[in-house]
Amino acid sequence: MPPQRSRYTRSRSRAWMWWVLGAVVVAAVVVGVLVQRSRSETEQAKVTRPASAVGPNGGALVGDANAPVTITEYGDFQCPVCARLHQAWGPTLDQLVQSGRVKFEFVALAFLDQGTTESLRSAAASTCAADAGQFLPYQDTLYNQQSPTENSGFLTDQRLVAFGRDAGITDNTFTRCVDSGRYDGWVRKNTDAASSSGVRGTPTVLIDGKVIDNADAADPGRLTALVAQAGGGG
Amino acid sequence: MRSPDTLTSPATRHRIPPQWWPWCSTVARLVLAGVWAWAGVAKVGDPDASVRAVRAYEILPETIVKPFAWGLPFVELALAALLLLGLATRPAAWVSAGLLLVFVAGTAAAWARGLQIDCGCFGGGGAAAADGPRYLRELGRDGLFLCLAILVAAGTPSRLALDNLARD
Repeated sequence: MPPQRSRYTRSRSRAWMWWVLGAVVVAAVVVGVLVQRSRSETEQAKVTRPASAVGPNGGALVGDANAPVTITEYGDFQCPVCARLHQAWGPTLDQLVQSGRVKFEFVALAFLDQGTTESLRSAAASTCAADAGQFLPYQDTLYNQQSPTENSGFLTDQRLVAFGRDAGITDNTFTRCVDSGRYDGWVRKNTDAASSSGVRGTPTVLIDGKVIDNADAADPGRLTALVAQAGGGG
Repeated sequence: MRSPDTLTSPATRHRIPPQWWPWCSTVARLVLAGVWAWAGVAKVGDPDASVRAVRAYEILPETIVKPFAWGLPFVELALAALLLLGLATRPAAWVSAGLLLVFVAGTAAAWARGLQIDCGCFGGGGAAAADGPRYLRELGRDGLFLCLAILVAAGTPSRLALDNLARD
Protein backbone atom coordinates (compact mmCIF):
# COMPACT_ATOMS: atom_id res chain seq x y z
CA MET A 1 0.00 0.00 0.00
CA PRO A 2 1.51 3.37 -1.03
CA PRO A 3 2.03 5.79 1.86
CA GLN A 4 -0.32 8.45 0.40
CA ARG A 5 -3.26 6.10 0.30
CA SER A 6 -2.70 4.85 3.82
CA ARG A 7 -2.52 8.40 5.13
CA TYR A 8 -5.73 9.22 3.26
CA THR A 9 -7.70 6.31 4.73
CA ARG A 10 -6.34 7.04 8.18
CA SER A 11 -7.43 10.66 8.15
CA ARG A 12 -10.82 9.74 6.72
CA SER A 13 -11.43 7.10 9.37
CA ARG A 14 -10.43 9.57 12.09
CA ALA A 15 -12.93 12.13 10.86
CA TRP A 16 -15.94 9.88 11.41
CA MET A 17 -14.53 8.84 14.77
CA TRP A 18 -14.50 12.43 15.98
CA TRP A 19 -18.12 12.84 14.86
CA VAL A 20 -19.14 9.70 16.75
CA LEU A 21 -17.28 10.84 19.83
CA GLY A 22 -18.72 14.37 19.69
CA ALA A 23 -22.26 13.06 19.35
CA VAL A 24 -21.84 10.60 22.22
CA VAL A 25 -20.29 13.18 24.56
CA VAL A 26 -22.90 15.85 23.82
CA ALA A 27 -25.68 13.30 24.32
CA ALA A 28 -24.09 12.21 27.61
CA VAL A 29 -23.94 15.79 28.90
CA VAL A 30 -27.56 16.55 27.91
CA VAL A 31 -28.94 13.29 29.32
CA GLY A 32 -26.80 13.65 32.45
CA VAL A 33 -27.94 17.17 33.23
CA LEU A 34 -31.61 16.33 32.64
CA VAL A 35 -31.59 13.07 34.61
CA GLN A 36 -29.53 14.33 37.55
CA ARG A 37 -31.44 17.59 37.82
CA SER A 38 -34.77 15.82 38.00
CA ARG A 39 -33.41 13.37 40.58
CA SER A 40 -31.97 16.16 42.70
CA GLU A 41 -35.23 18.13 42.50
CA THR A 42 -37.27 15.05 43.44
CA GLU A 43 -35.11 14.55 46.53
CA GLN A 44 -35.20 18.17 47.57
CA ALA A 45 -38.97 18.37 47.08
CA LYS A 46 -39.39 15.92 49.94
CA VAL A 47 -38.35 18.49 52.52
CA THR A 48 -40.24 18.31 55.81
CA ARG A 49 -39.56 21.05 58.33
CA PRO A 50 -38.91 19.67 61.84
CA ALA A 51 -41.44 20.22 64.60
CA SER A 52 -38.62 21.02 67.05
CA ALA A 53 -36.67 24.27 67.29
CA VAL A 54 -34.51 25.04 64.27
CA GLY A 55 -31.54 27.40 64.08
CA PRO A 56 -30.73 29.85 61.26
CA ASN A 57 -28.81 27.15 59.34
CA GLY A 58 -31.46 24.48 59.66
CA GLY A 59 -29.81 22.67 62.59
CA ALA A 60 -31.33 21.50 65.85
CA LEU A 61 -31.37 24.39 68.33
CA VAL A 62 -30.58 23.80 71.97
CA GLY A 63 -30.73 26.23 74.89
CA ASP A 64 -32.34 29.57 75.66
CA ALA A 65 -33.55 31.20 72.43
CA ASN A 66 -32.66 34.61 73.94
CA ALA A 67 -29.04 33.69 74.72
CA PRO A 68 -26.73 36.46 73.44
CA VAL A 69 -24.25 34.19 71.63
CA THR A 70 -24.87 31.43 69.09
CA ILE A 71 -22.46 28.58 68.60
CA THR A 72 -23.08 26.62 65.42
CA GLU A 73 -21.49 23.28 64.66
CA TYR A 74 -21.65 21.60 61.28
CA GLY A 75 -21.07 17.94 62.03
CA ASP A 76 -21.39 14.48 60.55
CA PHE A 77 -22.07 11.53 62.85
CA GLN A 78 -19.54 9.43 60.92
CA CYS A 79 -16.78 12.00 61.33
CA PRO A 80 -14.11 10.94 63.85
CA VAL A 81 -12.80 14.48 64.42
CA CYS A 82 -16.37 15.56 65.26
CA ALA A 83 -16.57 12.79 67.87
CA ARG A 84 -13.25 13.94 69.35
CA LEU A 85 -14.45 17.54 69.45
CA HIS A 86 -17.61 16.34 71.17
CA GLN A 87 -15.56 14.71 73.94
CA ALA A 88 -13.26 17.72 74.23
CA TRP A 89 -15.76 20.57 74.40
CA GLY A 90 -18.86 18.74 75.68
CA PRO A 91 -18.69 19.78 79.37
CA THR A 92 -17.77 23.41 78.55
CA LEU A 93 -20.49 23.67 75.96
CA ASP A 94 -23.10 22.20 78.33
CA GLN A 95 -22.09 24.73 80.95
CA LEU A 96 -22.25 27.67 78.51
CA VAL A 97 -25.69 26.58 77.30
CA GLN A 98 -27.05 25.96 80.81
CA SER A 99 -25.84 29.34 82.05
CA GLY A 100 -27.95 30.96 79.31
CA ARG A 101 -24.96 32.63 77.66
CA VAL A 102 -25.02 30.42 74.57
CA LYS A 103 -27.56 28.77 72.34
CA PHE A 104 -26.18 25.83 70.40
CA GLU A 105 -27.15 24.93 66.86
CA PHE A 106 -26.04 21.57 65.54
CA VAL A 107 -26.39 21.16 61.79
CA ALA A 108 -26.15 17.43 61.06
CA LEU A 109 -24.76 16.96 57.56
CA ALA A 110 -24.52 14.06 55.11
CA PHE A 111 -20.95 14.85 54.08
CA LEU A 112 -19.14 11.54 54.38
CA ASP A 113 -21.48 9.17 52.56
CA GLN A 114 -19.77 7.50 49.59
CA GLY A 115 -22.67 6.01 47.73
CA THR A 116 -24.01 5.02 51.16
CA THR A 117 -26.58 6.71 53.40
CA GLU A 118 -25.20 6.33 56.92
CA SER A 119 -24.44 10.00 57.46
CA LEU A 120 -27.77 10.95 55.90
CA ARG A 121 -29.85 8.50 57.95
CA SER A 122 -28.11 9.28 61.25
CA ALA A 123 -28.49 13.02 60.65
CA ALA A 124 -32.18 12.55 59.88
CA ALA A 125 -32.57 10.34 62.97
CA SER A 126 -30.99 13.07 65.14
CA THR A 127 -33.70 15.43 63.88
CA CYS A 128 -36.31 12.84 64.94
CA ALA A 129 -34.62 12.78 68.36
CA ALA A 130 -34.83 16.58 68.52
CA ASP A 131 -38.58 16.29 67.89
CA ALA A 132 -38.72 13.84 70.80
CA GLY A 133 -36.95 16.44 72.96
CA GLN A 134 -33.81 14.33 73.34
CA PHE A 135 -31.39 15.83 70.84
CA LEU A 136 -28.34 16.16 73.12
CA PRO A 137 -28.54 12.65 74.65
CA TYR A 138 -29.01 11.20 71.16
CA GLN A 139 -26.10 13.17 69.72
CA ASP A 140 -24.01 12.02 72.69
CA THR A 141 -24.90 8.37 71.99
CA LEU A 142 -24.15 8.62 68.27
CA TYR A 143 -20.72 10.15 68.86
CA ASN A 144 -19.78 7.87 71.75
CA GLN A 145 -20.83 4.73 69.87
CA GLN A 146 -19.29 5.82 66.56
CA SER A 147 -17.87 3.04 64.39
CA PRO A 148 -14.10 3.34 63.83
CA THR A 149 -14.64 2.93 60.08
CA GLU A 150 -16.83 5.15 57.91
CA ASN A 151 -19.50 3.73 55.61
CA SER A 152 -19.11 0.24 57.02
CA GLY A 153 -22.83 -0.46 57.26
CA PHE A 154 -22.78 0.15 61.02
CA LEU A 155 -25.51 2.81 61.20
CA THR A 156 -28.55 0.76 60.20
CA ASP A 157 -32.09 1.99 60.89
CA GLN A 158 -32.34 -0.72 63.52
CA ARG A 159 -29.29 0.56 65.33
CA LEU A 160 -30.40 4.18 65.01
CA VAL A 161 -33.68 3.23 66.71
CA ALA A 162 -31.83 1.25 69.40
CA PHE A 163 -29.60 4.28 70.08
CA GLY A 164 -32.82 6.23 70.61
CA ARG A 165 -33.81 3.86 73.39
CA ASP A 166 -30.31 4.23 74.92
CA ALA A 167 -30.87 7.99 74.87
CA GLY A 168 -34.17 7.58 76.71
CA ILE A 169 -36.62 7.88 73.80
CA THR A 170 -39.47 5.43 74.29
CA ASP A 171 -41.96 7.04 71.92
CA ASN A 172 -43.00 5.01 68.85
CA THR A 173 -43.24 8.22 66.84
CA PHE A 174 -39.42 8.28 66.88
CA THR A 175 -39.20 4.79 65.39
CA ARG A 176 -41.62 5.72 62.62
CA CYS A 177 -39.77 8.97 61.99
CA VAL A 178 -36.45 7.12 61.57
CA ASP A 179 -37.86 4.25 59.48
CA SER A 180 -39.82 6.48 57.11
CA GLY A 181 -36.85 8.76 56.42
CA ARG A 182 -39.01 11.70 57.41
CA TYR A 183 -36.11 14.17 57.56
CA ASP A 184 -33.90 12.81 54.75
CA GLY A 185 -34.93 15.68 52.47
CA TRP A 186 -34.37 18.20 55.25
CA VAL A 187 -30.83 16.91 55.79
CA ARG A 188 -30.10 16.97 52.04
CA LYS A 189 -31.29 20.56 51.89
CA ASN A 190 -29.15 21.59 54.88
CA THR A 191 -26.14 19.77 53.42
CA ASP A 192 -26.54 21.55 50.09
CA ALA A 193 -26.97 24.92 51.83
CA ALA A 194 -23.89 24.29 53.96
CA SER A 195 -21.79 23.51 50.90
CA SER A 196 -23.15 26.64 49.15
CA SER A 197 -22.17 28.79 52.12
CA GLY A 198 -18.60 27.49 52.04
CA VAL A 199 -18.58 24.65 54.57
CA ARG A 200 -16.02 22.18 53.17
CA GLY A 201 -15.54 19.77 56.03
CA THR A 202 -16.75 18.65 59.41
CA PRO A 203 -16.57 19.76 62.10
CA THR A 204 -16.90 23.43 61.24
CA VAL A 205 -17.61 25.61 64.26
CA LEU A 206 -18.93 29.17 64.16
CA ILE A 207 -19.53 31.73 66.88
CA ASP A 208 -22.19 34.19 65.79
CA GLY A 209 -21.62 33.23 62.17
CA LYS A 210 -17.82 33.50 62.21
CA VAL A 211 -15.77 30.33 61.72
CA ILE A 212 -13.40 29.60 64.60
CA ASP A 213 -10.43 27.27 64.69
CA ASN A 214 -11.32 23.72 65.78
CA ALA A 215 -8.37 23.78 68.18
CA ASP A 216 -9.87 26.86 69.88
CA ALA A 217 -13.25 25.15 70.10
CA ALA A 218 -11.68 22.10 71.74
CA ASP A 219 -9.87 24.18 74.38
CA PRO A 220 -12.23 25.07 77.28
CA GLY A 221 -10.35 28.26 78.21
CA ARG A 222 -10.13 29.64 74.69
CA LEU A 223 -13.73 28.68 73.90
CA THR A 224 -15.01 30.50 76.98
CA ALA A 225 -12.85 33.53 76.11
CA LEU A 226 -14.20 33.64 72.54
CA VAL A 227 -17.77 33.45 73.85
CA ALA A 228 -17.04 36.28 76.29
CA GLN A 229 -15.57 38.35 73.44
CA ALA A 230 -18.71 37.76 71.39
CA GLY A 231 -20.83 39.27 74.17
CA GLY A 232 -21.60 36.27 76.33
CA GLY A 233 -19.61 37.62 79.30
CA GLY A 234 -18.86 35.82 82.57
CA MET B 1 22.23 -1.25 11.71
CA ARG B 2 18.95 -0.56 13.45
CA SER B 3 16.84 2.39 12.47
CA PRO B 4 16.56 5.31 14.93
CA ASP B 5 12.85 4.63 15.13
CA THR B 6 13.20 1.23 16.77
CA LEU B 7 16.01 2.45 18.99
CA THR B 8 13.90 5.16 20.61
CA SER B 9 10.72 3.15 20.90
CA PRO B 10 10.11 2.44 24.60
CA ALA B 11 8.55 -0.90 23.71
CA THR B 12 11.78 -1.97 22.02
CA ARG B 13 13.90 -0.89 24.94
CA HIS B 14 11.79 -3.05 27.24
CA ARG B 15 11.94 -5.80 24.63
CA ILE B 16 8.23 -6.21 24.11
CA PRO B 17 7.97 -7.92 20.71
CA PRO B 18 6.17 -5.71 18.16
CA GLN B 19 3.44 -8.27 17.59
CA TRP B 20 2.37 -7.80 21.22
CA TRP B 21 1.96 -4.02 20.95
CA PRO B 22 -1.67 -4.15 19.77
CA TRP B 23 -2.47 -6.38 22.73
CA CYS B 24 -0.74 -3.99 25.16
CA SER B 25 -2.87 -1.30 23.61
CA THR B 26 -5.98 -3.44 24.17
CA VAL B 27 -5.11 -3.95 27.83
CA ALA B 28 -4.48 -0.22 28.32
CA ARG B 29 -7.77 0.58 26.59
CA LEU B 30 -9.74 -1.83 28.79
CA VAL B 31 -8.07 -0.63 31.99
CA LEU B 32 -8.92 2.96 31.06
CA ALA B 33 -12.51 1.91 30.31
CA GLY B 34 -12.63 0.30 33.76
CA VAL B 35 -11.36 3.47 35.42
CA TRP B 36 -14.01 5.64 33.73
CA ALA B 37 -16.76 3.12 34.49
CA TRP B 38 -15.73 3.03 38.15
CA ALA B 39 -15.57 6.84 38.35
CA GLY B 40 -18.92 7.26 36.58
CA VAL B 41 -20.81 4.62 38.55
CA ALA B 42 -19.47 5.96 41.87
CA LYS B 43 -20.70 9.48 41.08
CA VAL B 44 -23.93 8.84 39.24
CA GLY B 45 -25.94 7.70 42.27
CA ASP B 46 -25.62 10.92 44.25
CA PRO B 47 -26.09 14.07 42.16
CA ASP B 48 -26.01 16.31 45.23
CA ALA B 49 -22.66 14.90 46.37
CA SER B 50 -21.24 15.52 42.86
CA VAL B 51 -22.34 19.14 43.09
CA ARG B 52 -20.67 19.54 46.49
CA ALA B 53 -17.47 17.91 45.24
CA VAL B 54 -17.23 20.24 42.23
CA ARG B 55 -18.12 23.27 44.35
CA ALA B 56 -15.39 22.39 46.85
CA TYR B 57 -12.68 23.16 44.27
CA GLU B 58 -13.89 26.79 44.28
CA ILE B 59 -12.96 27.20 40.62
CA LEU B 60 -16.18 27.15 38.59
CA PRO B 61 -18.89 29.81 39.04
CA GLU B 62 -22.05 28.59 40.75
CA THR B 63 -24.05 28.57 37.48
CA ILE B 64 -21.60 26.13 35.86
CA VAL B 65 -21.11 23.94 38.94
CA LYS B 66 -24.35 22.00 38.60
CA PRO B 67 -24.29 21.23 34.85
CA PHE B 68 -20.64 20.18 35.19
CA ALA B 69 -21.30 17.96 38.20
CA TRP B 70 -24.38 16.38 36.64
CA GLY B 71 -22.93 15.88 33.16
CA LEU B 72 -19.52 14.55 34.25
CA PRO B 73 -20.51 11.03 35.42
CA PHE B 74 -22.42 10.47 32.19
CA VAL B 75 -19.46 11.62 30.08
CA GLU B 76 -17.24 9.25 32.08
CA LEU B 77 -19.67 6.39 31.44
CA ALA B 78 -19.84 7.27 27.73
CA LEU B 79 -16.02 7.24 27.49
CA ALA B 80 -16.02 3.90 29.32
CA ALA B 81 -18.48 2.43 26.80
CA LEU B 82 -16.56 3.73 23.76
CA LEU B 83 -13.23 2.45 25.09
CA LEU B 84 -14.72 -0.89 26.07
CA LEU B 85 -16.15 -1.38 22.58
CA GLY B 86 -13.13 0.11 20.86
CA LEU B 87 -15.37 2.56 19.03
CA ALA B 88 -13.85 5.92 18.08
CA THR B 89 -10.96 4.72 20.22
CA ARG B 90 -8.33 7.34 19.48
CA PRO B 91 -10.61 10.38 19.86
CA ALA B 92 -12.06 8.85 23.05
CA ALA B 93 -8.54 8.36 24.39
CA TRP B 94 -7.53 11.94 23.50
CA VAL B 95 -10.62 13.30 25.24
CA SER B 96 -9.81 11.04 28.20
CA ALA B 97 -6.33 12.54 28.32
CA GLY B 98 -7.78 16.05 28.12
CA LEU B 99 -10.26 15.37 30.91
CA LEU B 100 -7.52 13.86 33.07
CA LEU B 101 -5.42 16.99 32.49
CA VAL B 102 -8.38 19.07 33.69
CA PHE B 103 -8.55 16.91 36.84
CA VAL B 104 -4.81 17.22 37.40
CA ALA B 105 -5.04 21.01 37.02
CA GLY B 106 -8.02 21.18 39.42
CA THR B 107 -6.32 19.05 42.05
CA ALA B 108 -3.06 20.99 41.74
CA ALA B 109 -4.97 24.27 42.05
CA ALA B 110 -6.75 23.01 45.18
CA TRP B 111 -3.43 21.92 46.66
CA ALA B 112 -1.69 25.18 45.80
CA ARG B 113 -4.43 27.19 47.49
CA GLY B 114 -4.28 25.00 50.61
CA LEU B 115 -7.87 23.77 50.33
CA GLN B 116 -8.71 20.82 52.57
CA ILE B 117 -10.71 18.73 50.13
CA ASP B 118 -10.96 15.25 48.68
CA CYS B 119 -10.87 15.10 44.88
CA GLY B 120 -14.25 13.36 44.70
CA CYS B 121 -12.77 11.37 41.81
CA PHE B 122 -14.61 8.20 42.71
CA GLY B 123 -17.70 9.59 44.41
CA GLY B 124 -18.23 11.46 47.63
CA GLY B 125 -18.94 15.08 48.28
CA GLY B 126 -15.44 16.51 48.42
CA ALA B 127 -14.97 16.30 52.20
CA ALA B 128 -11.35 15.44 53.01
CA ALA B 129 -10.61 12.24 54.89
CA ALA B 130 -9.95 12.41 58.62
CA ASP B 131 -6.17 12.41 58.11
CA GLY B 132 -6.36 15.25 55.62
CA PRO B 133 -6.25 15.56 51.83
CA ARG B 134 -4.15 13.19 49.72
CA TYR B 135 -3.20 15.42 46.84
CA LEU B 136 0.07 13.68 45.96
CA ARG B 137 -1.60 10.28 45.74
CA GLU B 138 -4.47 11.71 43.64
CA LEU B 139 -2.06 13.41 41.24
CA GLY B 140 0.06 10.28 40.93
CA ARG B 141 -2.99 8.19 40.15
CA ASP B 142 -4.23 10.66 37.54
CA GLY B 143 -0.74 10.78 36.02
CA LEU B 144 -0.77 7.01 35.64
CA PHE B 145 -4.18 7.10 33.95
CA LEU B 146 -2.92 9.90 31.72
CA CYS B 147 -0.06 7.66 30.52
CA LEU B 148 -2.58 4.92 29.67
CA ALA B 149 -4.76 7.39 27.77
CA ILE B 150 -1.83 8.69 25.73
CA LEU B 151 -0.69 5.13 24.98
CA VAL B 152 -4.15 4.29 23.63
CA ALA B 153 -4.46 7.59 21.77
CA ALA B 154 -1.06 7.64 20.09
CA GLY B 155 0.19 4.06 20.23
CA THR B 156 -0.41 1.02 18.07
CA PRO B 157 -4.11 0.44 17.25
CA SER B 158 -5.54 -2.15 19.62
CA ARG B 159 -7.05 -5.58 18.96
CA LEU B 160 -10.65 -6.50 19.77
CA ALA B 161 -11.98 -3.09 18.75
CA LEU B 162 -15.04 -2.18 16.71
CA ASP B 163 -12.90 0.38 14.90
CA ASN B 164 -11.04 -2.49 13.22
CA LEU B 165 -14.21 -3.47 11.29
CA ALA B 166 -14.11 -0.11 9.49
CA ARG B 167 -10.49 -0.47 8.43
CA ASP B 168 -9.69 -1.88 5.00
